[in-house]
Amino acid sequence: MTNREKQRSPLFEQYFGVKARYPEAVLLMRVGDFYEAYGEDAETISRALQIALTSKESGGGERVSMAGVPYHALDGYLAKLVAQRFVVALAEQMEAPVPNKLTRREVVRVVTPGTLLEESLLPSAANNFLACVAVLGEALAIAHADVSTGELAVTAFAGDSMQEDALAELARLAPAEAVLDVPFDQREPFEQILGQQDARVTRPGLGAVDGRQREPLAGFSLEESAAMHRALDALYAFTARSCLGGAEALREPRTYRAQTFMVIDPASRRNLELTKAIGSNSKATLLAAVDRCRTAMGSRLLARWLLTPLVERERILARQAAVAALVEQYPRRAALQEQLEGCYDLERLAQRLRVHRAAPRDLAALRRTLALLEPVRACADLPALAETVGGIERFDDLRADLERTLAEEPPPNLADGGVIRPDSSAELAECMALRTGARERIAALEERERARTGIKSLRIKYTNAFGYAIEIGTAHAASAPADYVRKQTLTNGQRFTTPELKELEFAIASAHSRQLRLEEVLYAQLMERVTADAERVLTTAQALAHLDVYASLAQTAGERGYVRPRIVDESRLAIVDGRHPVVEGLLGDRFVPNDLRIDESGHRFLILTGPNMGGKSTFLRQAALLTILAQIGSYVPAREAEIGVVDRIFTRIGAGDDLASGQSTFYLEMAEAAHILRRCTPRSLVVVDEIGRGTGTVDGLAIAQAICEYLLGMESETPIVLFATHFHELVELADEWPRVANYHVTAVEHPQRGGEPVFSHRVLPGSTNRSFGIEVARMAGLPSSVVERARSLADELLGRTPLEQAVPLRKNLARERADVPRRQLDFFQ
Amino acid sequence: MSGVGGISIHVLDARTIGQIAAGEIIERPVSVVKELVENSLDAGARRIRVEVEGGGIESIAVADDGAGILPEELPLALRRHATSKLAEPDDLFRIASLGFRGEGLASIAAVCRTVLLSRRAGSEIGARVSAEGESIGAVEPFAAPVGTRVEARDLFHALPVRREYLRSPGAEFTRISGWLSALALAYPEVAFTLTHGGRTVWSLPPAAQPEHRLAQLFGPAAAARMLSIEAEGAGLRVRGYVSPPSDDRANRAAQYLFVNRRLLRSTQLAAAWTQAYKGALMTGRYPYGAVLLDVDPGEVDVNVHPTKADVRFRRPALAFDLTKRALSSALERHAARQLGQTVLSPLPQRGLTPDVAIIDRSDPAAPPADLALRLAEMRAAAVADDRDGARTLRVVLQLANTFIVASDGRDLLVIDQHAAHERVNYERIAARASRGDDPVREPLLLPQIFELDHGEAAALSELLPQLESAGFSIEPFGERAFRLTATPLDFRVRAFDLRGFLDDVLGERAEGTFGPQSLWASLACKSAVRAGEALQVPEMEELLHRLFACGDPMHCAHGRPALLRWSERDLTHLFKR
Repeated sequence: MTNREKQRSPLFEQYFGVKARYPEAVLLMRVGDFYEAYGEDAETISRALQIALTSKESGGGERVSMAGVPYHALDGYLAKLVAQRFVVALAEQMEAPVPNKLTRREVVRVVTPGTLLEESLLPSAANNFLACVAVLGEALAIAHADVSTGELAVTAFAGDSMQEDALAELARLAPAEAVLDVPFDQREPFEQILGQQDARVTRPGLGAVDGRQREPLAGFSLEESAAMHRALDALYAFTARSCLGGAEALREPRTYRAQTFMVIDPASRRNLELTKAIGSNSKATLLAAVDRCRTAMGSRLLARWLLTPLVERERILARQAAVAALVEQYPRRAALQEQLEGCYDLERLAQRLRVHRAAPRDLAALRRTLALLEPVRACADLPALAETVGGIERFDDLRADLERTLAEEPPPNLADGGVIRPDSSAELAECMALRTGARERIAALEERERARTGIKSLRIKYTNAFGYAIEIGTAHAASAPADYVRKQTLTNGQRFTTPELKELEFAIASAHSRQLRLEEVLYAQLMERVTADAERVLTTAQALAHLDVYASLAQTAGERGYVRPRIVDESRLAIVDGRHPVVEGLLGDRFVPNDLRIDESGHRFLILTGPNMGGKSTFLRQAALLTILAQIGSYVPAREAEIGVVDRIFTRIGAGDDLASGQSTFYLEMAEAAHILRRCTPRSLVVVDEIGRGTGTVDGLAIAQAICEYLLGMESETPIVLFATHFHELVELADEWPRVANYHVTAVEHPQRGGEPVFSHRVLPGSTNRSFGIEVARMAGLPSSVVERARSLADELLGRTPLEQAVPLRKNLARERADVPRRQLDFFQ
Repeated sequence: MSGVGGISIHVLDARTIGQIAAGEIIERPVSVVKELVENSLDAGARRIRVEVEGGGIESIAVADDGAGILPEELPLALRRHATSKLAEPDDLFRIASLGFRGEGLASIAAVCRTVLLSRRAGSEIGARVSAEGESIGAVEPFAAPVGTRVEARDLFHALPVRREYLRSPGAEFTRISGWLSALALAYPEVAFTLTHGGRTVWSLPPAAQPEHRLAQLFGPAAAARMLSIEAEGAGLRVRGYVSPPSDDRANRAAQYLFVNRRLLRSTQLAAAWTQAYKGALMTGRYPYGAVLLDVDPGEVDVNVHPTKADVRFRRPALAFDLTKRALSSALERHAARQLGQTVLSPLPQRGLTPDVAIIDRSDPAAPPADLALRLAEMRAAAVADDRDGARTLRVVLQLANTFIVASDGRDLLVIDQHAAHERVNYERIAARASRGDDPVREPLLLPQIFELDHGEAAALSELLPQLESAGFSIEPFGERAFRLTATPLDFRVRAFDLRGFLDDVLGERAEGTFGPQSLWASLACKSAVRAGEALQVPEMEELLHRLFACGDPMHCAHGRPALLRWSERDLTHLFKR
């Protein structure tokens, strides 16, 4: 073994030496015009990229597998590898290759799913987070960063529910990659939730954590702070290993408490389809329904808002005021959006500046966007937007520098030349003059040669491939002077060169390479200048993103007929003619609106009965979505709306059953119910769409009723509950509990088609025991013999054993719940 | 008894009668939209959504949130001369609603497969009925929001001949969009949405202020410049918004007239508009905007035209005068405001002396707006194409090395030398190109070598063939370098501004407006004498002579004015004699 390795050629020694330091990655090493991989990595990429696998003599008669991609096509191949969740290490040549000497090569970048910077690899309208979870004693911290925007935030959890809360937070962030600094016995739930989100999971490298004592973070306990530092350190170590730099590559960490936002548990977020659709129509999300952002920065911010609605009334009202100002000022909104349309993704650009990976065209885009800031400021000159507009920094000097130095339309790469304006530097202008001078002499040479040879058709031509040449038509080619050296034969002529022409060509070329060197220096200076402003560019980007979101919400409100909800402190929901924002979008103006009325002291437990297909599920989701919209500061689809701030939304909705996890539907249903009962507060909104369906009717009804009674037994602590059920027996709860209101979705029988239900899609007070199940079965095409049989069986069953008898209503169950701990409502106080 | 060709006379069947009557009202898809949207507005709708498929020939659906129709009244609504809008016969002469004859829905049902879906507030569920021709289906319950939705599919499905008269779906849709957006001007409080093939084409939120609707339709910038008009008298009221004289359009299509919020084409009121702007705009240019006339319903007869496209006033002169007065006074106020800003008074007060800059046009690229405006203020009559006059023209002087002041003994003329020369060059180039002549090239004594940046170099490489055929010999001469060896002969080469020409051409290309005309215009402009160049009298005379030989001596190739003229009468008026 040792012998054979010794015989390997230096290139392979180098490759496998580097590879040993990045075992987790596929190593692509620049060799000439290719990025190559050898051995196992070659086999991996040939499979993943569908490219040819060859082999190469590696010394000592051995051959090693080899695969490679051309350097100019790297981006496309990289995207494919990243999409397949590979980690890719890129090694570049660190010096100009010299024959017969091994070129020094080093890894300059490790591309992992959570550390993407390249616009071509990133989803434009979504954040791409890298998360770090650290458990330290009785505290748990999560740090998360979007490397493409430089954003960095950290939070901590403690107490009994610490793990559950942390999982919910991770689910909200949906990171592309996570570093788990978690004891072995606690890893499983984290790996499971990250696995569901297709995130890459890694562990911190050795030595990533330093044991220094550090200042506690404001608002967090010592133990929490220690965990947060640990999470941040692991995150910095990870970005450093990706060759992006550690702390200096990211903004100062922002600390936050998850409780300052409405808590939406992972199941609810999925079921409500806030930013991702469950079904085949990827546009069927709340985000798509309200997103009219003109920039990717805006779309990302809006998505974040939808996942973290506010719970502080003042902050909601401030956002609402900003949206309202633009709703009322159509011309300003339209003009503002017109300007935003032209704005580049400054957030990501600023970050590329910070990590020194900005290209010349990024700077040109920056210059264009900076020119739009003044018009944006003018359009957004409204009192309600003043604070946001204040975040738009002034860049007069930077703009002037860019105008003066950067070419009008720079080429994609510095090496192409022409990135710097020639008139910005005397030396550069000199190079230009040298070139122009040489070209004029070439033109003069043409004149002279024409006179000398007497050939009128003699021309000096330039082609990209062959440079300058004297071109003579075939007729005169024979009379070319002796000092002409033939360069190329054409169909209708010959091309020649002369020592003088060669000399002039060389003068042009050397002026050109001098120019390139100069431009490199000047560009580096310019980059340094621009990078110094990266932080201010980022601040500006965020202000633009906010304006974009406000304008987007204003546009949606105007075009879709939304109303500004009154945000109140009492726990209530009063919605007149509410509509489901997503379904309404799909149905146009055929959507049937409905009212909802929940009061603090009156009805707050709504039992909804009625037939399938009647619109129960839509109505329940609608209540949750309207609450979320209201709490991000948006208008809501309704004629009138009054919304008391909700701290958590829970949903128990059947659709998204997780078949992959291998757990039974019924088990999951019960787990979700258990979660709700454990965690709900008096300010929560609980939405239950059928419970107890996955088991026998008697068990199901019994469980459903017991859950209702438990929630009602919380008395003044009872959350707002919207409970849709098939168990008609539950409507009798209203007789016992004054907080219960019965609602039902209605249907009428079709006058011509006997008994067939026509759903009105309306939700009205009262109850119904007509489920129309058999009629629906008939409409769906069940054979008529089956339908008839079902009908007679139903009559029989109903006549014999009323379910109420099987499950007598118990009135005292809830009283046992006196020991329920009072929940902390700290943030409301 | 026999009729034509031996066919006996008989009473037409109901279906035929229906189709004939419908034919007067429903000409094309936009007529369907018009009838339905007017019904929606009469029903008090605040949101109206129009969904169009295949230009409206396939299907049109209009949904509103208006009052809705009771289930038992649905079949009646589809019957001819059934309406909820007139209760007494005398009401016909006091029509406040848009519809009144009860023909709209019936006509649509006669020529389309129609489905009517509606719910009244207070009804638990909506109801639906479908109709085709004279046959009306049974009313059935159906889920619906409060309001009415009418779907009309397969327009003229039973009348293939009528179908042939329809234009392409795209063209029919353009009419629908045009009509609906115009109507929206009169109903700023109503939200309108228009979709075509499932895609939202435009969506107008309810306007918080009426002016916002203008911004929605004309764009925020143009709307901000528009003038508000207002006049009242003798039971009539005129209001609206019109363009200032500096903004204009090539046709009258964007002049919208409303009588009691009914969009129509009244030739009478259009004349009021034309008269008010007379002299303020150049010939062939028109103002735009919306003029809304509110009159007592008894003052106007809307029942004179099957599609209600015109109305008859009881006192036509009154409507005309009031409209003209409202427009004129808005224009006067605007002119006064402009005067206050630009301190334009030297001409009438100080007379014509060479040291007075009548119009300071030191920047030839300045927008034409102010010139057109001054014309307006001075009530200058548009100049007829008076070529005879040019022969007797006498050049008086060159002003600021930029303008030529001339007279034919009767009128005073001021000519922009650059604009005039540009026009002369342009017409020569265009004439030659249209004859298909090859341009005569003049080789340059010293070829010009120039280097461009990457974007420019790439763009120019693509334009080389077109420039070649225009008479320029440009060839690659190094990396991003080019060599100009010959220019077209037929203009003043000494003044040719290569860099400016390239900027123009590449700019046009970037904006996608590059074409032969724009190339000629750029050529004409960059080879024309510039502002600030001193000219000799014979040169000026030659220029004027050639200018008046042009097809359009009034404008430069880019549409800016080249020539201003004041007649003796204008001057008399200006001096208030």
